[in-house]
Amino acid sequence: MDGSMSFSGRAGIGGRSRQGIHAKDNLTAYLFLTPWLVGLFVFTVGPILVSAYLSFTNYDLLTSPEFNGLFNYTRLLTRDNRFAAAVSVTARYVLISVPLQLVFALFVAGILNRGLAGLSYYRAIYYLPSLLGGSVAIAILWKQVFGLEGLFNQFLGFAGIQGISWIGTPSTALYTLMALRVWQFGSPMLIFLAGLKQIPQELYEAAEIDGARSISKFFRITLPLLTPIVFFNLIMQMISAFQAFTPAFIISGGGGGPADSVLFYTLYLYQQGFSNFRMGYASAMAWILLVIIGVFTAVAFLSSRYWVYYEDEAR
Amino acid sequence: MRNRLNDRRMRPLASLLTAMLLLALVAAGCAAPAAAPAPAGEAAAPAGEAAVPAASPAGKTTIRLAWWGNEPRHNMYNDLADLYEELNPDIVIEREFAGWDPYWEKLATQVAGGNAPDIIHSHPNYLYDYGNRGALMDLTPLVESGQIDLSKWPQGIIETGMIEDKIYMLTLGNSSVGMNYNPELFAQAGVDLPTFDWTWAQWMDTVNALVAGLPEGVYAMSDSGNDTRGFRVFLRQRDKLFFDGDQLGFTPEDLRDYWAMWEELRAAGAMPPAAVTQEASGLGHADSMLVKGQIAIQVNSGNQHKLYQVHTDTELGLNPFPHSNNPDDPFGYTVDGAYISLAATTDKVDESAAFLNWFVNDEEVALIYKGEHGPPGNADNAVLVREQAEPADQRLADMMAYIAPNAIPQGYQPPRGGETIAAFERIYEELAFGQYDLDGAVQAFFDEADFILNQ
Repeated sequence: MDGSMSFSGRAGIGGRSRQGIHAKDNLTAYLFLTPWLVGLFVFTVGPILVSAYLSFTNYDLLTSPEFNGLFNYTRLLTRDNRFAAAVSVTARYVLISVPLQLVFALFVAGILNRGLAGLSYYRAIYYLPSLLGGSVAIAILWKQVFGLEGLFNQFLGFAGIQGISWIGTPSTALYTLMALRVWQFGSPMLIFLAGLKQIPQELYEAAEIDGARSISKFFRITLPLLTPIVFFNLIMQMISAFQAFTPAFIISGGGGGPADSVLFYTLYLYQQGFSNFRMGYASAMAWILLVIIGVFTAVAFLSSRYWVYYEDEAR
Repeated sequence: MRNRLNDRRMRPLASLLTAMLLLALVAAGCAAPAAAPAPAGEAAAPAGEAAVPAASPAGKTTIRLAWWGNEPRHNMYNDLADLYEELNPDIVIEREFAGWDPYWEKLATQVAGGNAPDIIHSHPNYLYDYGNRGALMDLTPLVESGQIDLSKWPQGIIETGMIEDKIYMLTLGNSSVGMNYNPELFAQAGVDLPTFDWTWAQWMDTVNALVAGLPEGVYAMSDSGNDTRGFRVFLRQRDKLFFDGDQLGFTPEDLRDYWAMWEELRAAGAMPPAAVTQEASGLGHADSMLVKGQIAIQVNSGNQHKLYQVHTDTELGLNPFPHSNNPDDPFGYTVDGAYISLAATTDKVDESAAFLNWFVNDEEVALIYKGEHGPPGNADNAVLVREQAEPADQRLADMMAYIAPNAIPQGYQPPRGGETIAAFERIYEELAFGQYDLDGAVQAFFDEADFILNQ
């Protein structure tokens, strides 16, 4: 904006031709962007607007939508017990699994940062679950591992403990899904690792000369300097945790069971839209999820000024 | 500008921009699947998990056939479609298949996008959802014009696919829910085998006797109080239906009486713990507790009986649900199974009707199909299939013959029926996990049904 204003100010001296070149450059740029822009409007902006409209309608997929005002929203927020259950399940999942995942990622990144031989192999191995974790195959594997006769219970069996069906029991099913999320610590770990490498060695050397122990080095140097990375990972993992779908869908066979214990928000949304033919209702749920994630993200951003430190900031 | 962004005053703005970008990403992520009317480009190429795109060379007509099933059934349908292409060189059959749940989810989206397959597999559970909303073609004119020949079909069988005077679907085989049992476990426990005319009281005595005679870790009865088909049999004996118009057709007392029997068996230790049932529900027939000899009686659709049988050397048995304890009460049974329909939107009516007619009437098809979904609608073919039947098919045919005189169509199901049935299953499951007592579960179901049907 600043640029164009300064150009118009000097319009007298060859300004026209420079502006022409400018406009032509822009046109070329837009031309190259066209495929992406078409995709954005047709597959993203368009459906988003349609879903906003549908959220105010009664739409069963088979007949055309009927406008019903705020009905979907009031029914969801005031009367739907399963909606409340889904919010509670999802909130527990996000609030427990994301911090655990980040702590674990940071822990492993700290170990890998000690100049291990074969670092690139370890990095690849630990990153692998992040690539595979969201897949159907891993969800099916998880179902086997935590089943009654699964690998996990066989391990417990060596210790003489009689296991239960972790997947089939309402009080434990959600924790198996949290474990699955924590297991996918690879991608935040990589980012932590990059962040750790950026911390100037002089700081540690200075601290050592002052006689600091490793614990205080971690809490006084590493963690404060890493807070922007922690913040980034927190936001990204939180948003993706809110949107988790596949593992719950596969492990519960689409139902959210046992006894609705893994009824994730997105799973309930999917059930309403595609099993119960309440597509308008499902659209309203999508918009409420947007608001929920927006609020959580905003809270994280607002709180960040108290705990995130940027190097160039004087404190 | 770069310096400005690093300026402290500008950071809130940068944060805000980042936040907005993230929100946009989130919105894209969660809104896209909810926006039902698939964009034209997407609808033209159904991205089915198992769609086999068939090239359509010049001069050939492509018709699309969709069905649900498992691996062996997919193979059989592919063979049948190949056979039809061989017999009719000018036809190409494009195949779309999936498991039961994804099949219906995909179909709903396709119908919404005006892109339904020409030939659709349908089911009594969905007859009213699709038939009353104009998604299925009325086959009556095609039957009158002789393009579809129903001269060998019993009227009662045709009626199971009708709404008022319009034929919307034709059966591929009738079956009903039944109790599969393992006679060896009965012998081991010293319990007499069930007979078709047993009562609810006799059923409970049988199960209790099994509990006493079976070793630990082997269960007498599958935990199937969640199956509404069994409850429908029970209701029918009280002259009631699950749905009466757009409302439930029974009272809390009816449900309480029914679930109380299951709760009594649970208390007696007849059924596996809820977590085990939960886990077993996802297993295929080969890994089922019945085939592994871990359970004596397993409730499932009659047409699945032979799927258990192929995986075990033990000759299994199949029995209908019990009669009322009061001999004066009627014995009633609903018949379901798989049906076949044409999409209302198909522009290849003649070709699709010709395929449909071949599929439901041809002898060769009947012999390949072998009563996959129970005895076929065409009475001649039913006899043919029965003559060739293996013992497991024969047991289903025997049970269906016993049920047939008392069979009724499933009846009207309101638009929210499927959701109500899902609530029934879920709340029973929560009862099984001990999250409710019996009265609490009955109350929870009626509250939930009221919420679904009326609010």
